[in-house]
Amino acid sequence: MNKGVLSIPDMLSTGKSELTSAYLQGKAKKISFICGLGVVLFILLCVSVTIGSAGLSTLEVAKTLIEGMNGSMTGTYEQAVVFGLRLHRVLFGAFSGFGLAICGTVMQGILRNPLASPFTLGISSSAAFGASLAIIFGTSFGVLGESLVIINAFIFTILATFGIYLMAKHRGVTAESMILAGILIMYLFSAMTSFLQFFASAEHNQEIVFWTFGSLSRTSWEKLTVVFGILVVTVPYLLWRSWDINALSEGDEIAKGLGVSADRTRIVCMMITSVITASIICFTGVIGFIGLVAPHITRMIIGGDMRYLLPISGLIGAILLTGADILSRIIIPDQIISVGIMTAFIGIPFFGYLFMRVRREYW
Amino acid sequence: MVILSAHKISFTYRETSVITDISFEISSGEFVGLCGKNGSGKTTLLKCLGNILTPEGIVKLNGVDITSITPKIRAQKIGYVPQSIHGRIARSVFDAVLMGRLPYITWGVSSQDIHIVEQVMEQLGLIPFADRDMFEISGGERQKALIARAIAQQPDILLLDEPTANLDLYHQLEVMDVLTHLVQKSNLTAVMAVHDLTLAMRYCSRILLINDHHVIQDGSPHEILSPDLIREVYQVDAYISSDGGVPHIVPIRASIGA
Repeated sequence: MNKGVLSIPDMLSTGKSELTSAYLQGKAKKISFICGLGVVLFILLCVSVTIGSAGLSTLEVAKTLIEGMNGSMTGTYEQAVVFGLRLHRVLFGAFSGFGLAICGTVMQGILRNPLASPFTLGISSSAAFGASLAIIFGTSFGVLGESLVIINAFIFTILATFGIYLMAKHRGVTAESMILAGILIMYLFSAMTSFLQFFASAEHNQEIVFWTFGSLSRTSWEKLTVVFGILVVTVPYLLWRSWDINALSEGDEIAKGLGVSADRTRIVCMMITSVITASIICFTGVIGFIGLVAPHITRMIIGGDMRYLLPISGLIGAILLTGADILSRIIIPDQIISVGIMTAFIGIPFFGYLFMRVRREYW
Repeated sequence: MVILSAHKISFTYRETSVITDISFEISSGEFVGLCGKNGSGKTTLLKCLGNILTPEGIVKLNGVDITSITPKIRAQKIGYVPQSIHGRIARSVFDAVLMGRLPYITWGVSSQDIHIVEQVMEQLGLIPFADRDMFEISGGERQKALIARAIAQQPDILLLDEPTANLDLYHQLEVMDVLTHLVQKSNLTAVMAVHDLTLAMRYCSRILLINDHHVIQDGSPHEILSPDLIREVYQVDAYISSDGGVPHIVPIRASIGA
């Protein structure tokens, strides 16, 4: 049966047309942009590894890195600093930025809202509550202290997502109901954290505040492996669903008409993004800004196609966080400012610049 | 050959009944107009036929219960053209039409997908707009892009929700001519919710007239559209003129005492 208007042999005989080559050109352009960002990120990572208070020169760091890559770990001071202290921190920053930016992008897409992010939907504040709870009541567990903070932050993040889901399910899993539920969850957990702080000791309060600043100083190779493992599994899946998220961003009915089950896609993506977010912020504390702003920066540069928006905003998130991490370590000598503070300081001018410059409608 | 059928379908929205117990069959190659007042349930019925809303009762596609077909396969058979799109996501016309290939795409876009999109865009005269943003172009072009997207799905059935709403006269006729051409030449079946009875009379092969949640008339436009029926359904006095063989419904006034 002649389906629709076209027969395949007809089309294939027409050869490469202007439109096809324009499409391929556009694709090549975006892929080279991705490669360019990859190079920028790589350079920043290299710079970041050489910075620190251990008094190593750039050359020494480079030599140590190359030696390490070749597998000759001899346990020198340089290796202890570069591999034991710096490299996992630097990579953790990049992966966190990547993951948080992708989560923000997916959330803004599935919820069709430019303000959606792990931070605005209460996922971060629930993690902060979980961490606070562990900080205040967990010290009696002694060594378990830090693990308890991590586990609790993770558990509460997942609980919050379920809370959002259950509330939304009651009213229909629409974008609007999920956003409202998310904002309710955010206020609820913020209030509960404040409530805890009200009764907590000054020492505990300080620790809670420090946790909510977001920091890369608590990373380790094990933690990096966890985050990397989760990203390796989830990001390809999200990339695979990028067409469906594209369809969802035009409305549920359009998505359904194109064969996408809107509610299911929204729930699955929401769950996955919250697992990614949870796995990152349970180790770092609250780094809220990247997930909101990296997708916007990317959208202003390349437009709204999720196929490219996801990887590019991930890279931009990684670049922002790595850059913020570098600044946080050099801006005041011998002092490390929390990276959560620095991300806002470098992200906002960048965002503001694009916001003023880019005239075309981007959302 | 019956391609799409509704068996006693009803849809209730928050305890308000929108359509009740509607049954009919649509054969391959028909161009069906769903007519009725505002709020009569045209759009709801259309969405139920495409399983965008799930009604009570059964909708069958080629004799198979539509809810038992996977969404992707369904989208390969049925293309749905909404009245408008929400959100202001920056997307070029080309990318928007390319999304019609979504039911066929697993990982990446094949060269065949691009060829199909290109052919459809050429047919609808959209090539000059390929690079433009969906929100930069006129309402008429955007409507055509949405139709192009649905055709790129290579469906057997097109469901269209008021495809000519908000279009000027030229674009109304252009869109309707394109649709008629598709139905006639490409073995396509079209179901269209439509307000404009003159357009329905001129282009549709069959009209389902909906009133008070039910289909009250079903037949060819010339058989069923009469001044009396228009008065009954729309509470408007009108006469039907057929200058030069093209029928026109000329409304005169809202019926007194309606």
